[in-house]
Amino acid sequence: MDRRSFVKRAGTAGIGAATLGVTGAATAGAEPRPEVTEPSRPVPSEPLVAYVRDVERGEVTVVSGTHETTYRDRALVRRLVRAAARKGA
Amino acid sequence: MSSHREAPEISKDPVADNTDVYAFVSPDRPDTVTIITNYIPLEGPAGGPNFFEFGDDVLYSIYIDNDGDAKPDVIYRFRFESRLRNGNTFLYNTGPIGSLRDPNWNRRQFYSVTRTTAKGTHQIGTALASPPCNIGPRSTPEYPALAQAAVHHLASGETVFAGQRNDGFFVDLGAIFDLGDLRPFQNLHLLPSPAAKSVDTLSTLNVHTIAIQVPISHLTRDGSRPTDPSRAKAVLGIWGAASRRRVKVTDTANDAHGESGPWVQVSRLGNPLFNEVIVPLGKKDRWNGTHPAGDWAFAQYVRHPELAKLLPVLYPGVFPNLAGLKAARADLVAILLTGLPAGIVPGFQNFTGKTLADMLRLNVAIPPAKRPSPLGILGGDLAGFPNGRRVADDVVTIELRAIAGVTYPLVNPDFKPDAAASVVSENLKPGAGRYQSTFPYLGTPHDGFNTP
Repeated sequence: MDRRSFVKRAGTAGIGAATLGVTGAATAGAEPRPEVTEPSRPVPSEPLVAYVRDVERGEVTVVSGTHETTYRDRALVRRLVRAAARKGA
Repeated sequence: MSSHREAPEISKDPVADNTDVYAFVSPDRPDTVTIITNYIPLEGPAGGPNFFEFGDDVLYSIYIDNDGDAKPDVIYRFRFESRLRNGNTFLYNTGPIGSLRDPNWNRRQFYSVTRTTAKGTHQIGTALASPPCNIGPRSTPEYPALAQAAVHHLASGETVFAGQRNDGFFVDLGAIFDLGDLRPFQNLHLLPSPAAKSVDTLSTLNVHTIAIQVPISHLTRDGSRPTDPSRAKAVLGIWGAASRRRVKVTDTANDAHGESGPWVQVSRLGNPLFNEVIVPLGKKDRWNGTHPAGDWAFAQYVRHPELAKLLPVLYPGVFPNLAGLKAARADLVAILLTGLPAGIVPGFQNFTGKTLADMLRLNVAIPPAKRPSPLGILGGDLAGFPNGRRVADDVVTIELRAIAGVTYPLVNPDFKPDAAASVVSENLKPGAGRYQSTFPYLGTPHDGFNTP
């Protein structure tokens, strides 16, 4: 399964693609394009993790420390899905 | 142990812990090579009700390098899928398991196999059944037949088996890790005790085996079956590895979990005891995550092995010549990292070039031995370790003797090994049933009812 089909499935399967170190929220209409880059440092001991739980509903779960919160943020989900679909993402 | 629980991180992840790799020209089918990679160390046969199985979330790989660059040219990958018939019972089986399709068998496992070469990746086996674990005479009354039914002959020419077997590795584990005690020589130890017989620690334990028998012509660089041992194309480099996805998200509330991201290697193994005894504790996890082509970074630990320094300390006065040997151990570099060049052992070479890489190196032009020596090449048997590795090779004794200096004269004839170096031994002879004469060569696993 490639990344694109995994994300596509996430819309119905309930568990989505995960991404590490996502910070900030996108604002609709003024979304900067993500840059592909090499990691600048090792994985932190407690990475902040956001994963798309449901693409169609725009649900993203953010895990930080010992807490987990699910948000509805269609713009962020849209950006994450777009980033995941990019070649090499 | 060969590589059972050999590194801090993988010791906590048994289903991905590669314990042993074997590679040899099949004695009963000498036009093929058999490669075995074992996982799940120290399986207690009675370990129910959830008996041992491979990880559905683990990618198991067997790598073959056929051109000496320590990068794989042929890759076999195995993925597993567990299936539960009845989730409303705690039982692994609800009656005797008479066949691989027996409805009494509740928790089953199936697997797929792919083969990757420069021509691409092809699935060569799907929904292949693993056998159940050997539970006892009521649950698995005809175990050898069950296991034999799980030997699958694929249309592509390979034969595969994946399931529980008797762990063929033998070692006096308790003694080795009790400050390098070597029974029955404990009276000579720095902290002496009366001499006693060696203990075969793994003699009642099982392991999970992935075994594949491959036509030699599927593995060599030119698709031939070499007959001249002096040719470079006759030598294969072989290792195994296990990988997990980068991210796993657990959702117990919904009885689900998800995985994503690239496969990350968490375990690998070529030569027995390499990561276990050669690589220091602070580097073992990293070694498991790296690839043989980068093993130059660990070569210093081969050139100056810690164990060679310890033996003269632990056995005062027993290894004086070894104590005086300060030069880099070019013999160990050849055995473990490059293969033996031609001209060192008459009629033999398994040299793969200057790339320093931990791989089992098998010269497939050497035919199986009619009377195998467990000491392999040290015992005058060119078909045994370190020419690949057979299931009954006494690799602990071979490597102990090599590290103690027995093989150093191969590169420096002026060196005289200590008398003790050529007699140090595990002093173990694995019992009947440990092995079998046909694929997958490891014997029937111990059953949980009869094994203490």
